[in-house]
Amino acid sequence: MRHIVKPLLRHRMMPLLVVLQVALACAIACNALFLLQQKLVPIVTPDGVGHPGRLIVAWNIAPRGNPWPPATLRQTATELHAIPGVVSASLATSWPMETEAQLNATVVADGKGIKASAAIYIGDHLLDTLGLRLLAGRDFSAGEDALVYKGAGLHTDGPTIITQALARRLFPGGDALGKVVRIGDQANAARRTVVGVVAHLMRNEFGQDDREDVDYSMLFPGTASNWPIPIFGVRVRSTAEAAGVRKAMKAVVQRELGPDMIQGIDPAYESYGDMRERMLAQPKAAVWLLSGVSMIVLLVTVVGIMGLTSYWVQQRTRQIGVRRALGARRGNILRDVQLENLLVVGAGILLGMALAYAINLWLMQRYELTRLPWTYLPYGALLMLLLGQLAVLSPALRAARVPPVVATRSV
Amino acid sequence: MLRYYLDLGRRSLARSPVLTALIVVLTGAGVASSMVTFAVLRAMSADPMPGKSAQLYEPQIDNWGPANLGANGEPPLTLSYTDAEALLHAHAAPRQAALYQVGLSLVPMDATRAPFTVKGYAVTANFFPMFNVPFVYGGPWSADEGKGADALVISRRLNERLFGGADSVGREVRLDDHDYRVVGVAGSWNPQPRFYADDRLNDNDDHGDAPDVFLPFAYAVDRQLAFTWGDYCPPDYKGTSWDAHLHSECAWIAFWAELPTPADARRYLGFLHDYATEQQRLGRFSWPPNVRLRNVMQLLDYVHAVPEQTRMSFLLALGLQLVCLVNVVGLLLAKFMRRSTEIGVRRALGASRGAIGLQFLTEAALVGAVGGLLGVLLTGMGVYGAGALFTPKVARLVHIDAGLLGLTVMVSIVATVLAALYPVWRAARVQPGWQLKSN
Repeated sequence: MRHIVKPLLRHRMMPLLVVLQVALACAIACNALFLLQQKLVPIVTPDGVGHPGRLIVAWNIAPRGNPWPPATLRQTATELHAIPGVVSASLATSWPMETEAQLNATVVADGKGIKASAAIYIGDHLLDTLGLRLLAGRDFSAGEDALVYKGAGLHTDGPTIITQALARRLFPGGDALGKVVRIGDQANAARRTVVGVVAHLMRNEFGQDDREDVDYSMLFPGTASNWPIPIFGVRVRSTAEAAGVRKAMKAVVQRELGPDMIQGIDPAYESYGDMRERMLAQPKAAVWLLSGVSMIVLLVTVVGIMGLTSYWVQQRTRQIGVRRALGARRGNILRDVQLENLLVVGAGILLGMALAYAINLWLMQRYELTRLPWTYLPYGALLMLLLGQLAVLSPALRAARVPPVVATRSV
Repeated sequence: MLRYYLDLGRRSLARSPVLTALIVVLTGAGVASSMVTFAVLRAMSADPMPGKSAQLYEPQIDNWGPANLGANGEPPLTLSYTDAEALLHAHAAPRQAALYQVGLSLVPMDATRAPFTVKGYAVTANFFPMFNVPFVYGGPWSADEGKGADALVISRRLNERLFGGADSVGREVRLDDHDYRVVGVAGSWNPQPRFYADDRLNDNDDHGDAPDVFLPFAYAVDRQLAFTWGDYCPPDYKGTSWDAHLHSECAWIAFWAELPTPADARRYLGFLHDYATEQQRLGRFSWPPNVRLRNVMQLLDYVHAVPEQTRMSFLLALGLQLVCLVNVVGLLLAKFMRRSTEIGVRRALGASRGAIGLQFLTEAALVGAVGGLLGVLLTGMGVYGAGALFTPKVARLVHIDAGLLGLTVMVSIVATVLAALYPVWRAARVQPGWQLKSN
């Protein structure tokens, strides 16, 4: 060990540069990968919606003056359902992958006091139209779907269907069916009884980071009154019929609601798949950016270690020759160079971890960011050590090939 | 001498092409990554109205009360009609403007052409001089003319479309079953971000097109032309008619005051405070005055017009460049120290330490310049590719200009020279005798 550490201390600059480089790379890569993982959440989490190409959504429908009465909107939904090829039609207040309208609330497990922030979708036949997978319980009954609320419906008692993730969060003990969820934490908050649990349903705005949060959603049956921007969704039988249904849908909405729409705001008629693409475009771009930067940083570091080590090996050719002449085997030389790299990179990692945390703290102060989970550190360390070993392999092999005869030359 | 050093540098760089290429690529990639993100950041945080933005202020008045405001207690960005009218009539600033966004369907005179939607703003007459709107033909309507008249200012683009770009002053345009008379054709005017209609700042659906039409504010209100966006009503608002909406506390009018000096701004803030106090005394507000006065850049900062992601990517790119630089330090050190013998010979022949230092600095600057050229190329590609990484609205704002390219080369050279300082110092300290002896 001594013969490895001593030269490191004598020629400080070369190892110091490697340490610095590893530390910087480690700090940047850790933070970039942490951000990357957060951006990945909405991309990799299932949104729960079945056959995105078969779901067409009409949104951005803005009334001139007062909101349309629920009866008019219901009538429109009924006519949408009557379009040939349509399996199910819904009228809703908000929609996944659409953030123009959002209903979010702090919901509380009744009696237990466990809280969570959840997105609430209010509308009729949502289970069928969204194509959600029911894991337990039942769909809303026709009577429940026919309900018209006085306001949005957040303050009314009734049934609800929640996602499995939310059920697990609110009722960790197990079966959520039949349990009551309070909408809000006030004493008079509405009570919603869980009648069904669906596999997934993504909320319509993704928070910055919370991983499970993105799948915390609830469905309420019925129709909201006085809701300024209604959304219609229809599910078609097959993707082939989607284009035709879309055209018919546009005609129906224009005929029923067109005269009372604000001029200059054109409703959007989009397939859910397209909406999803659009909504995820930004996280995807961020993922590309972050992964690209991380890759380049790591690549540059590997190249840097390689360049510096090979220079260093070259400088010490004579010493290596002497050691070989004095009986060191090739394996010894190889191992020594690798061990040396391990020490230097290890020091770099230690410094890098501290730096990563410092950067994270600084970012947390300035931006809405959560703390870097410590689990990143061992993985990051392992990755850097492996990359360090990879980088040193070729210079180390070259060092091991130095013939003992070098020691006798040019003295 | 410098020329000799440049020649020496060129020869030395050519002698180890792989190492040189590596340094050049690292420098180029590092500088390009920070330049691309810098271009985006620059585009996003640019002053939308240079020279004027410090004089344009947006007053905010809390007409909702603490119970209805967000947790931060900030008043709405827009004003209610009541407050906007009161401020307009008080004339507390040399110039004031009120505006709201409208959308209308334009029916071409030529019946064979289909109607289409135009977007624009209902504005008071002072809007045009306040926001430096240029005119190709005609001009703004006069203050009296705007009151009852159906005057209209159209954009150059709409003028092209309707009248083939001819002087259309006095011609008629039919919007929503009503004929308007063109009084002016606005030239190119499209400040970005669209700060003047503040609620559209963070709207991703807005593609940043210039407004098509401007029509008189008072007339638009009389005609009950509905706002297309940004009506914020207190939760208890139940009104149904236009008239009820006008007299409600709904905030929907963007309001601006031109205040040439900071003293004017202070005075105006005082006026706002007095106004709110008066409203409290009259019983309209049951809370103490809560008013704000922000100029354009303060407003952009307040509404976070620059997305966090943009700043983050810039920071990330800076980190990347730092990593590249540390790498360059190591590589230059390796490169220079390999030539200890050469240095020893030069020193023995009488070259001073300074001369050696200058020679190697010149070489480093040369590498930096080449890296900078590569950086320019990569920056160009990066900005071109920004459309894939950022939203189209952002990508459209990002552009390359001579300044950015010059900056790229300069940053590259400066960074490389900085990175070379330590290796050069080491090179200059090489002992001539020692080097000559060992060979």
